[in-house]
Amino acid sequence: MSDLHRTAFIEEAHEILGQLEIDLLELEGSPENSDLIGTVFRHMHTLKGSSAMFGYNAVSDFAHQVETVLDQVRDGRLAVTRELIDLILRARDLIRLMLEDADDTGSIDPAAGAEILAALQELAAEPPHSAPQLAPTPALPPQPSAGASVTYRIRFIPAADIFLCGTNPVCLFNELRSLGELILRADTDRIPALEKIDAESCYTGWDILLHSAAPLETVREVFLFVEDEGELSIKIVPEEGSVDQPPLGEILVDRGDLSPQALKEQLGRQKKLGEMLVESGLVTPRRVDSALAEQRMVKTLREKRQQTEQQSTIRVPAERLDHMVNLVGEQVTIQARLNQLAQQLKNPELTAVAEEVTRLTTDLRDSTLNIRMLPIGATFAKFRRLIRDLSGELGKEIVLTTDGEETELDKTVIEKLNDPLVHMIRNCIDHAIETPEARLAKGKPAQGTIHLAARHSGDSVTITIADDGAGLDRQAILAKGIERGLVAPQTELSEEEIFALIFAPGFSTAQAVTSISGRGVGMDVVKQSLEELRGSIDVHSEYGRGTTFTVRIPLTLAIIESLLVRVGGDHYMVPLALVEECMFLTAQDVERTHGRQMVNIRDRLVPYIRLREQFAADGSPPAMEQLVIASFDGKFVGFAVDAIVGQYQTVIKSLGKAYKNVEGIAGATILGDGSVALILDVPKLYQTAARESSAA
Amino acid sequence: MFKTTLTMEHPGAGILHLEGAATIEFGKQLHRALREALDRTQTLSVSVAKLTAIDVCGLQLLCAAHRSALLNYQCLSLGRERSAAFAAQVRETGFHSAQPGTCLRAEGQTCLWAESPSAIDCEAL
Repeated sequence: MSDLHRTAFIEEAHEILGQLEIDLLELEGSPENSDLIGTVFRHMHTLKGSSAMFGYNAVSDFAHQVETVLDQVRDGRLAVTRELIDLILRARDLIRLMLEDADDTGSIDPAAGAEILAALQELAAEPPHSAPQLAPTPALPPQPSAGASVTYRIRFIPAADIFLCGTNPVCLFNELRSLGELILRADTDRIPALEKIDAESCYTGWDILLHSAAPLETVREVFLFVEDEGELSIKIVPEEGSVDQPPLGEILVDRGDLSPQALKEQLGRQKKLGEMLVESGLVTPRRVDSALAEQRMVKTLREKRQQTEQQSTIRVPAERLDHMVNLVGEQVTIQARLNQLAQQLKNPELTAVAEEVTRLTTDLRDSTLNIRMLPIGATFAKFRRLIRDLSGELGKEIVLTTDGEETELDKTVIEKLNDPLVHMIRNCIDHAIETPEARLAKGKPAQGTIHLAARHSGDSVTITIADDGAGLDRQAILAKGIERGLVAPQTELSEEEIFALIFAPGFSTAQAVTSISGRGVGMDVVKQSLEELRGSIDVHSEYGRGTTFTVRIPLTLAIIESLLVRVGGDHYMVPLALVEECMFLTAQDVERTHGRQMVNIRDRLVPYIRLREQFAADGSPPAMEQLVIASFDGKFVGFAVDAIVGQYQTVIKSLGKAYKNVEGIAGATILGDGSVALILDVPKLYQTAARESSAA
Repeated sequence: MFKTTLTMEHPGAGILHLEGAATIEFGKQLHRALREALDRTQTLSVSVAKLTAIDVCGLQLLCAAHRSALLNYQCLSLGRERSAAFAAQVRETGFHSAQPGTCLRAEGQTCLWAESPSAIDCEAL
């Protein structure tokens, strides 16, 4: 077995484990969902089978024993309880560790597996009546899981007077067509001869196959006004299980006990079941034909789906994508050089080629960056487990609601976003949401809510983390700020400024340090992490009602839309998302403020930084400088430059280890002429300027 | 509006022309026209080229006429030229896949809705 196959197995196993966790948490919320029980069972079954195939026998044995317990759940002999979900989740975590520790480094406690299995077996040994309310209800028809398409078999024989009641069956069929793929077969068996027919009565029935993701109720609703009078049956056509069961003949051929030719001959002699049934008069040819149509439809749809699944995804190592993005970055740079050259040479043919290359490069760049886009939903799903476990540990009742899971972000951004979000959610659980008793005393529902939402907003994504907990205590924050010397006593601060104190290093108003949070190491790190992602964070809170953190993050870290400016012979870039306006800075403006670097913009005094001084550029400034006004977190700052070159979209290059800690610079890019332009870190430059100003 | 005209092409062989909307409002009229046409012919072709609409009620009547014809050893078929409205309705109501129905009593007999060449046998008038 090659390492490549093992790596592919491990990746797939992790995906299954991720989905298993999501499904287990969902099952806890709807313990009677037999479909979900089946899915959980299948996950464990797949893990068992594939781990055995790849030589992970310990994983396979362990999964087998968990699967045995899940089989009891599937059969309705064991109820789904929180305790059971706890144990299966622990089993899932252990399998993950076992896969990670394939070399048996001894990092796994050998007793852990035995302990989980003993607890599971103990649970399985209890009589099912111990938790009868959670037993699956076999009376309920199976439901398609959300988003999954199923095939419905519908037999509809309307009442004879359906036409006279003003109902046209075609309208019903059109409604069904809007739900999915439809195959209709009219059953004309009941139509009498012309001598006996009543011209205005309905004798036709229909066998319908509908392949749709719509739930059963939606399908049934189509027939809402006609089902009472006629005959209606809607059933889900069962699909083959995950385990293929090859026919006997194929097994014998596989084993070499029978030649394919001999099998074909024998099968040729055999009469088809449909023919035998028709001959015996048990069913009409039409019924057999209808059933064969169903068989064909299910087969076609399955083949189509398998083909789509096979063709629609391809597993590629992330490093290859990163390499591709780097190459595209190089191409963007070369393309800029080509454009510049075409402009200089003024050769129409070269200009035409350069324009074509620009168009192709832009498409290539967008497509390449799109490949790395992932929905944030998977990250949100991970928090469900975090909230479940931590709230249980703290004796709190917390539910997670989410919105905008489909919002896509660059893979790198999502990875880097994980830690700050985990930190904020842990804070919500530990400090924000009160205990059920405290909540009830305040007139709130016992169960607290954490809401995670994501949405696109221009070239950024906004993520909100909202809770309905205690809210931030302004007075306590201010007092702590004064105590820590962050704010001078008697200083009047706006609510926004007071809340901003929570992002100061070492700030915490928690009375006690818990294992989860409260050491005051956190929100400053969160803010710093987000700023490293060129993002920002805002907080809004109502005391007693809850807190909302709003995080803004660029869609991608690989590319930036910026304003290119020039100072002396050097170029700098200001992230366009932060630019508010541009204006001239005249000698009179400078004079008016008596040399203080402030400018009055519509009655607002905005400080500005001379980039020439900041970066010690050579030469002297022009008579009339230009000022780029940028804003972030509600703060305004200007940058005095020699000239504004224009808008520029570029690929960000890191500065390397030696320069990565240079304050005020977020990165660099290569311009069309091959020179380097530095990307300004606006918040950092503002902080530096503010620090120097207060020191002065 | 709905109009039916029977034209006798040969002795015992005729074409019933259906024109307009063969819908429930005109169900009785179509029923009557089909019965009369079968009474007068041994081989009947029903022309649906000028149908602007037809509903399940009309399709059932054609099916019933075909059944009667088979029972009485007559030949009834649909004309080769079919209006778009007729063809669409046959498809949308699942009549196109209704064959083989129980109206088939013997081998070689074809369902009215089949689109195979044998379905237009009677058109060789």
